[in-house]
Amino acid sequence: MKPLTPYVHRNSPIHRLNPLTKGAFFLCVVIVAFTAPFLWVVLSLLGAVVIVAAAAKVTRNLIALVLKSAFLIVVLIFIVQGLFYPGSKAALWTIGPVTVWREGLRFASFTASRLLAIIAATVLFMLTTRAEDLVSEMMAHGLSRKLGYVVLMSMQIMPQMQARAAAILDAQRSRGLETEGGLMKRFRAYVPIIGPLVVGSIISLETRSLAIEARGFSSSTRRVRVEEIHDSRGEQMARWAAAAAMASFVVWRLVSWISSLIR
Amino acid sequence: MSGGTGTQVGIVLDNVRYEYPNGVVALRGVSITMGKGETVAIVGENGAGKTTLAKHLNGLLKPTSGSVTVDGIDTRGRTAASLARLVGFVFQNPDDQLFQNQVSREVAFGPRNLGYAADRVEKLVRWAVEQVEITDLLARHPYDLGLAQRKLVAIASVVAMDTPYIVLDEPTTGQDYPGTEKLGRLVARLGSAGKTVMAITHDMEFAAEHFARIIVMAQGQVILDGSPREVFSHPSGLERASVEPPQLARLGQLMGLGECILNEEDLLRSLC
Amino acid sequence: MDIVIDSLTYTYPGQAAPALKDVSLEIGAGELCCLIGANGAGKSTLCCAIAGFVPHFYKGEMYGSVVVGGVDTVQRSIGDLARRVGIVFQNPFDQITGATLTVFAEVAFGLENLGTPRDETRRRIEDVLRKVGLWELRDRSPLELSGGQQQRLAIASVLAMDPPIIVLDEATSQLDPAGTRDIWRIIARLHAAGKTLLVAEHKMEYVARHASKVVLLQGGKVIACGSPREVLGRDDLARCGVRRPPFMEIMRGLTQRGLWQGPMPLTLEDAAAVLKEVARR
Repeated sequence: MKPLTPYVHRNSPIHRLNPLTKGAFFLCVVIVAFTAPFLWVVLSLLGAVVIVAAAAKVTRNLIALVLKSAFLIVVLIFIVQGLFYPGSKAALWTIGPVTVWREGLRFASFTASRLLAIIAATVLFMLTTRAEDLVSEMMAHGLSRKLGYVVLMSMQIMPQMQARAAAILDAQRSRGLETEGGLMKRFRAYVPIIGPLVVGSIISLETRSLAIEARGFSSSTRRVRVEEIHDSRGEQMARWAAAAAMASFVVWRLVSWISSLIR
Repeated sequence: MSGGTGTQVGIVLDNVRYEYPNGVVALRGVSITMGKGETVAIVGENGAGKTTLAKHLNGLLKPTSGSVTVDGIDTRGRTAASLARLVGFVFQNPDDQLFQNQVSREVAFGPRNLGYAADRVEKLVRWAVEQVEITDLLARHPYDLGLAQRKLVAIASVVAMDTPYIVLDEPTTGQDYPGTEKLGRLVARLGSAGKTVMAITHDMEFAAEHFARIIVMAQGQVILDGSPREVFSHPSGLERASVEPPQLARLGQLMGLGECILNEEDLLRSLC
Repeated sequence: MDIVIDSLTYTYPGQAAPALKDVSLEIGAGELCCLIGANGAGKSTLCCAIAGFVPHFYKGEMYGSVVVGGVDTVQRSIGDLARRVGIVFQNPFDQITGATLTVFAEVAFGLENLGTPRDETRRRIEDVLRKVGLWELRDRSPLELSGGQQQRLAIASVLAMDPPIIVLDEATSQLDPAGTRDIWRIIARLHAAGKTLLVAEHKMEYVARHASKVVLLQGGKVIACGSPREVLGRDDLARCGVRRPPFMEIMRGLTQRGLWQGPMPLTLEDAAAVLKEVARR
């Protein structure tokens, strides 16, 4: 069964950081990359992400995943902006009817860098943080037990549902249900496949809710997670600092944006 | 045997080997011939390849090498849905197939898929619930029934397709004694109606009492194949397959009796 | 008495007929009590009543009382009862929380909810995982286990909360022979360790061998309650939808023909010894 998140276990200081700390810095990178006015800022963020990934020993996974998810869209950005950037004056090359514009390329590289920085930060966060740990930490800091459970369960149950859907497909095909062929045939196959999936999940849920109730789920006692997640004064301060930096950055960008409007 | 001319009646597996996409080899050269009206129990521990084998019988899986023919038709190049006319297959978990809001509709789903006329569908539904002895459940909602009864509904919904071959995956799981007896009678009725019944089962009493032939599998191979008496006379083979013989056969072994004990008469005969 | 049920009559919501009719039962501490009977006889409902799911979860109409470890179930919440009664269900997969990544974390779930101190939790997890033979698999995902292993995990998860009473509602019915054997080995060990066990089971060979008390149910009523020898020796057993183990059937034949007067053997080994003795005569 394939897990939903690409977490890779490594013995690294980055993996050992508190998930909330990583989350705070991840948000920082996303906000700054999204709003920074200079290309060098975005590029240095991208560089920082790669350096952190190296410290976390996941550089190769990072590059593979970023390429996989961003390659096509980056190429598209370059083609569309390079060729059709509105108000372009400086032509770089002209090959037949196709003209590549300098302004377009500059805009494309800026947009693509922003995108790459954001995607890289997201992937890095997921590579080094187990969803379970993140949600647990959020629960320890006030997220409701029910919501936390639902989030974790849906992430685990999704791959399970896929496996069940495959079994159901086999069972119904064995009853003569044609699932290959025209649109109408495939549409008609929908109910016999979704039906058992939904009803089966409801039956499972009933037993499951009994089972978790029997394990003190509704207990009003404060949850104590057995796996201690590392946290420290330093990390807490770093989180606050990251939050403060984020806030001031956003304020600065808002102010300069508004003043540019007034001017 | 493999030189079928296309008119051969029965299911013929010829040196079937199957490798899952992840590289696990589940069947290592299985050759079996099952004729008309045979009742065959397939036994062996989990992972022996029983379900993989069964899925080859109706084309859900196609052999990596070797061949499977049903009444002379090679399963390769046929979809499972088109083979459903020949081979009925009941999955282990009834909840993987039940979706209608009434048992009668559920049982009618298969024959309808095969394109049978309304009156024939109606007749088949009635016949199937009689075979499985669940006529009293016809008007019920499948999900108001317990798991064991849902399983009987799932079996009836495949029996109703009136196929010459029927595969049952673990039919007795969760059944009580009356339920298991119903299934035993079902196997006998289908067999005497000329249908071939194959059941994967862990229940050795069920296999020994209701099937004429038992195939024992281990590690993707057939290691024993014969009548219950023949099969249960081979303790070493059964041990290799981690199959525990039925209770009375074990009793006979504990008593140090040489021959295979399957019922009271056997025991009395070997004691006197 | 660990479990005292007094004239319990219970009807599920929307049903006309009661699932349990005037059931009275006493189960002593340290007893291994097996519930037998056809599907629909009321075994599961009785299990759920002892764990408090009836009536707390299923609602419905309940008369009479269920007292577990001196506590009336109606007066306590399910969570509270969980410390007194642990329950394991039929379907292994449905009992997995689905919110944990490892076997270890799965067992921790209940203890974490109860706010158990970390060292205590760790100690108990190791203890119960060793008891059910899953300690080596502690870092595996619960979803990757076989059905039998998942069922052992469900038992471990319940054991970790250390309830004096453990209810198994047809816990072996979806398992293969090896899985069933593993579960019964654990049941026998828990019995020896002094737990009170209530086990709904169809596989009579195990009931005969291990039970200290057997309760036969039919149509929501208690038909018989006594030693395995008494209950499994009853003439109306098959009529109640229960199959006597084949070896006991043979022994009954010998007794009826006057060939054997001694007590009914409860295990295959004893039956073999008796039969050898009879044959020698």
